[in-house]
Amino acid sequence: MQIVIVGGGQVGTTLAGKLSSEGHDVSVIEREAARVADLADSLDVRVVAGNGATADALRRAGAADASLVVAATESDEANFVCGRVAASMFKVPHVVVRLREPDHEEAFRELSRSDAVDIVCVNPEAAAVEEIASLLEVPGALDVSSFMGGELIVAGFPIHEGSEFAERPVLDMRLFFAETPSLVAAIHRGDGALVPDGKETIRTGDIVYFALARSDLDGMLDLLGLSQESSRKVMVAGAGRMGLALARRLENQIDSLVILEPDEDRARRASEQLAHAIVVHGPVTSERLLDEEQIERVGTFVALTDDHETNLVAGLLAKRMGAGRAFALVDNPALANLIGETTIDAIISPRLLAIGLTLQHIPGAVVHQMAALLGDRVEVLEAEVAKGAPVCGDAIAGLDLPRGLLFVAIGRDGELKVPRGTDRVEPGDRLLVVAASEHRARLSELLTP
Amino acid sequence: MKIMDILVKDAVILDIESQEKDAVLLELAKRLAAAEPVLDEERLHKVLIEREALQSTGIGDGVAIPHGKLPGLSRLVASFARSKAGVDFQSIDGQKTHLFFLLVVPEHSGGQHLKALARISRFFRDASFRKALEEASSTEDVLRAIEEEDGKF
Repeated sequence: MQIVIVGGGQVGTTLAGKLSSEGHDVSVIEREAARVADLADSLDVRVVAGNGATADALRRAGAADASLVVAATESDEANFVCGRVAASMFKVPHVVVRLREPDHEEAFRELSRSDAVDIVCVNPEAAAVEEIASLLEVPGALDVSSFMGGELIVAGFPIHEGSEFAERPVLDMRLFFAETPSLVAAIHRGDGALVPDGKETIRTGDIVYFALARSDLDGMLDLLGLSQESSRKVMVAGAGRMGLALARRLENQIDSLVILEPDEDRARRASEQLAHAIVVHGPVTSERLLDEEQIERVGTFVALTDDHETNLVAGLLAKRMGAGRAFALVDNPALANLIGETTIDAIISPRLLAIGLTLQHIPGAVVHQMAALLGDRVEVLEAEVAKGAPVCGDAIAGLDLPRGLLFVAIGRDGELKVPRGTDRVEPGDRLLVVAASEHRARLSELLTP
Repeated sequence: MKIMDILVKDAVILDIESQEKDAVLLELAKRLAAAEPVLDEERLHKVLIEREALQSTGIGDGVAIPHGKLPGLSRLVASFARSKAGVDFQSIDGQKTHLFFLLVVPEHSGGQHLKALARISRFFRDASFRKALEEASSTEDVLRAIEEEDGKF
């Protein structure tokens, strides 16, 4: 497939690398001359210098023959124009546009109505807010993704000494949850990642990723000794677009919500817009302020200011002063890499989310939802099974799945089924799979007709 | 939660007569229902069979933890049984099952139910606990072993 990516930033570059490695014919349009040379050196794709919001650059990149244009620059306005030109002038059948402002999305959809184009608007910040909301829904979790229309979640929990799951065989999940697909999807142990078979035992110090049917969540939290977050305090640092969106999203779910904002005007505007949350004006890295706001009673601290280094510092401080968990908005990969070595529990990266969301919408792909665990070493995929895919036919036991490739659940007729060895996967099924990275090729072979 | 608090002492069986899975489940249900009249023997048997059909509760090392939910029950109840000869319970390690711990819980007891299962399965991973039950020569020996394990956690 011919694909044009506009914007050679982190999102565009990562997408270009991934898509070209999958055999697509990819061109990237980049405006800055210095970046153009860098990209041409580092990527095995065609790089076109120019403004992606102009017909000229799009034409030179091959938009006239492209099946997909992805507008992924930093600017909403540039993406808007680029998407419109691609849809209207070049009749590109699939257009993915990264837009942060909900207003822009609405206008974009309205203006594109008369074009025969499939439009996907990716809003990384809104996705990040949703991610934080799901993390809050699962107390103690370091990472949460939702599948099968929200009926199944995958969440990572650290196993502390004395945990009900320490020194427990993963097969006990079947004893606890025989009727549902809940199981251990992956284990992070030391530096390694593994997708366990039944013989594996969970150890103290592991981070265990459980796949959980929603109906099992409360029982599971009980077993893990975790209480629902709604009864605890949540503190958000930064009342910018994301902080405010999160506060609005949470206001009616969390009993005690405090927003810290260093800028006086922003703080005032936030308090005008929020009905229940308490807005406090002051520096988010002030020990005195955190102490006054009783940081030790905070279940989760979420640092969402525009300055990502500040987020890191605020998160570390909040943890040291007794907050249960700390999440920090960090989009810079170099900075994000440092976080594994700190007490920050989760990083929120709209950029990574934008990449994931865009990949989900590549036309022709059968993947509906995907989450990368443990730095991409394990992948959770929700795929629609196509007619003629090799995965259909034999009973699951007959597919001879290697260790590290796990069928978690089958969604059929709106219900979640536990895949047993004697079951068959059928065309039209939604299949939830966990795959260690070395089995990606095998998985793709099983799913491709 | 202490297992001694939910164990029905009068329902302990030192050497179960049945040698086949369904019959074992029936014998367990019968004995527990006799000691706890609030339980309906047939209904309990059916619930246990249904649970086993999803996946055997034979967790290996000669241990099975058959369990089920029953409406109308107001608290968790449990019983213990032993088979000297061993029973093919389709357990995960393919070995015969000698020690049975039956757990019956009220219909809506999500967290309690799981905690009891977690506790019982943890007890049975202790080899010395299994050995004590295998070698018990009286109901008192069985109760003593369970009480001792209860004290450890």
